[in-house]
Amino acid sequence: MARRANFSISPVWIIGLILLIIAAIEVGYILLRKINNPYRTTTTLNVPAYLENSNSLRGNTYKVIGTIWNSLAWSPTAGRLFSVEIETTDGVSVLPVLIPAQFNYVTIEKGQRFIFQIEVDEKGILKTKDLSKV
Amino acid sequence: MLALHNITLRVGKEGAEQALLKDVSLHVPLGHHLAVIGPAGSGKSTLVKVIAGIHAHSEGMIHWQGYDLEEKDIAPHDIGYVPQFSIAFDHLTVLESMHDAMRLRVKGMSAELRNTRAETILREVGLLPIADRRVKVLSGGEKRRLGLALELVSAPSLLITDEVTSGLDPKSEAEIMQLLHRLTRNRDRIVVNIIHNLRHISLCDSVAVMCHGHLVYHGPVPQLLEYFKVNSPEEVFPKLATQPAIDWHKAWLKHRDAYEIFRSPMPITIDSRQATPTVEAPHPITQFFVLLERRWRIFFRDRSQVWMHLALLFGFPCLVVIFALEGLPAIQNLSMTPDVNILDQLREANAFIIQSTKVGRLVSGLVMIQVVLLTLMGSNNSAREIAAERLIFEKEKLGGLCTISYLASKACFLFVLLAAQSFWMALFVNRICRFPGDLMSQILLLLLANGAMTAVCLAISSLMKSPEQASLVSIYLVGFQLPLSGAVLGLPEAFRWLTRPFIAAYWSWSGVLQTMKDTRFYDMVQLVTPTDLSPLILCFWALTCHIVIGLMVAYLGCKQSRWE
Repeated sequence: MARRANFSISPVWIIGLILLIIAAIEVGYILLRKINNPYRTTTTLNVPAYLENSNSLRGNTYKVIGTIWNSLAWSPTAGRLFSVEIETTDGVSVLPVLIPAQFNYVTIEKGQRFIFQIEVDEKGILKTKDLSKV
Repeated sequence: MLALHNITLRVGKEGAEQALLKDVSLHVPLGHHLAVIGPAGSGKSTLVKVIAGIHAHSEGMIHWQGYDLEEKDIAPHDIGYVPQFSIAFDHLTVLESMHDAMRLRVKGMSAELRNTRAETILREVGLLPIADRRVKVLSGGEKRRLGLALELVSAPSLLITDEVTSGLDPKSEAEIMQLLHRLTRNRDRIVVNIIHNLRHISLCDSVAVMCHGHLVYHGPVPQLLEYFKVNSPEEVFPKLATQPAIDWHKAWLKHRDAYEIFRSPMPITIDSRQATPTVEAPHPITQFFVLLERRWRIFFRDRSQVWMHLALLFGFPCLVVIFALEGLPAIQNLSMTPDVNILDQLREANAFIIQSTKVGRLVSGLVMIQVVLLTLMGSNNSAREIAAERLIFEKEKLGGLCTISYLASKACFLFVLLAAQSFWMALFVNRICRFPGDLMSQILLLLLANGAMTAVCLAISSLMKSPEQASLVSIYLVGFQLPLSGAVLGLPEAFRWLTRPFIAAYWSWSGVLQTMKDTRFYDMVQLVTPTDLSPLILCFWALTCHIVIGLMVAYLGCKQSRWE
C-alpha cells in the first residue's frame, strides 16, 4: 500500500472517468433524439396521398414539418388558417393548416418553421393538435 | 524506533534507471537527534523524503515503532516535515498561520488553548516578537523558523527538517539547533535534521553521512572524526572526494557494527508511545470551514486580486452592452396576406433578409460575447487556485488535511465569485439591451458556463506543475471556445460532433438563444447562424456534466501527490 504522501492516480480511475464521459455523451445523445423529435411515435403525413384523397385519411393523426407561408383566414373562435410549405420527397407542397384558437398565444410569422401534430378532421382539414418551433 | 532496512530508490524508465538512494540502512532510537550531512546532491533530501513518505522507495523497508510503514503509515499528527520551501501563506500573519495550522491539524482546541500553545511555540522558535507580522515580509530564515513552528503544533513524534537552519544568522542557528535538541529530550521524539553548517553538530546525538546516494557513516558525532581520520567535521566532505562513494559504502558495511551503537535486533514496541497524548485530526467539515474562512481572508488581504475581480465584474458587462446601448432593434415582419403583388413581395423579402442578417448577428454576437467573457472570468477564477499553493497543500495533506474538504472549500469560494459574475452579467446586459426570453434561465445558463469553465480550469490547476503552466493551458482553452463553438463559422459536420460535447461556450450560447425561442430574434439567429442550436434541456445537461466531471478530475488531481 502506498504511503499517504505518495498517492498516484491509478489507470482504473482514468478508465472510469473516460467511461463516465462516454456515458454522459450517450445520455445527451438520447436526450437530443427525444427532444428534437417530440412526436416521434406519430406517422409523418403522406402529402401526395392527402392531396389525392383527404377523406381517406380522416380521423388520423400525423406529424408534419413546415414553413409558414401566408395567413389565409382568422377567426377569434375557430383560430388561424395558414398556408404552410412542406418539403416532401417529391418536392415542395403548400397545404392549408388550421391552428385552433387554443394556440392563439403562439406568435406565428412568415418564414417560421414548425413541427405540427395534426389531425385530418371530418371535412379533410388539417387541424393542429400541437405545434412546436423547429 | 525508526529503522530503515536496505532502502533503495530508483527513478527513470526501465533500462535507464538512476539510483538516488542505494542500500541505505540505519536505526534511530526514540528521543534522538539525528543530523544528516553530505555534499550537495548526495541524497540527503531524498532520504528524508523517503522517510516522510513523499518518495516511494523501490526496495527495502521502513519501520516506525515496529510497524512497516507500507502497511500502516505514520499518523498525520505524528509526523512533522519542515521542507526547504515556505509553508505559510504570504498574506497571513505569523500568528494567524499558527492558529490555522492548529485548527486544521488538532481536534478540539479552544481559542484560549490555541493562543497559549501558539505563544509557547513562537517563543521557542524566536518568532513571538513578530507574531503579528505578515509572512511575505519575513526573511528566509524567519520563514524556516515559522515552518518549524507550524510543524510543532501537533507535537509530532517524528520531526523531519530539511535545512531548517540555512539562512539563519549564527545566533539564530544556534538557538534552533538547541531547540531541536531540546525537542528530542522533552518527549520520545526523533528529530531527523539535514544540516549544512557543521558548527553545532555536537548538539546531535548521531550523524548520518550521505555520499552519492550511499550511506557512508552513521554513528556518534565524536567518532565521526576518528572514522574519517580528519581533525574537524568540515574536513569530512573533502575527504569523501578522495575515493568513490561505493568504496566508502563498502568500508562502512565492514565497520558499521562497531560504530552504529543504536542497532537493535528487536524493534521497540509501542509501550513508550502509550504515554504520549493522542492527537486527533479535526473532522473534515471543520477543516472545510477553516479552509474556506482562510481563503476569504487571503482574498480580501490581496488588494490587487480584489481590484482585478471588481474590474472584471463591472468592466466585462460594459464591453457587451456597447454593441447595443439602444437595446435590440424592433423587427418588421413580413406581410402575411397573399394579395401583395410580386414586386412588393420581393422588395419586402429583400428588406427582411437584410434586417434578419443584421439583427440575427447582433443577438447571436451579444450572447456569445457574454458567454466568452464569462468563460474567461471562469478561467481567471480558478486557473491558479490550486497550482499556486500546491506545495503548501501537499504539506497540509501530509499533516492530515482531507482532500475533499480542500476541494469543497475551493468550490464554495469559487462559486461565490462566479455567481456574482454571472448574475451581474446577465442582469446588466438584459436590462441595457432589453433581451427577450426567460431571465432566470439565462442567468442559470451563464452561471453554468462560468461554472463549467471554472471547474475545468480548477482541474487543470490541480494537474499542472506550476501556476504559469495552468494559466497558459486555461487561456488556450478559453481561446478555443469561440472558434469551436461554431457560432461564427460553421464547423465541418464530423468535426462538429467530435468537439461540441467539450465546448462549454456552445452549450451556453445555444441555451440562452433557446430561451428566446418564442421570439423573432430566435428565428433571425437561426437564419444567420451556420450551426444548429441544441435543445435547452440538453444545454443544461452538457454544462452540468462539464462541472461534475471537472470537479472529479480536480479531486483526482488534488489526491495525486505533486511535491515537485
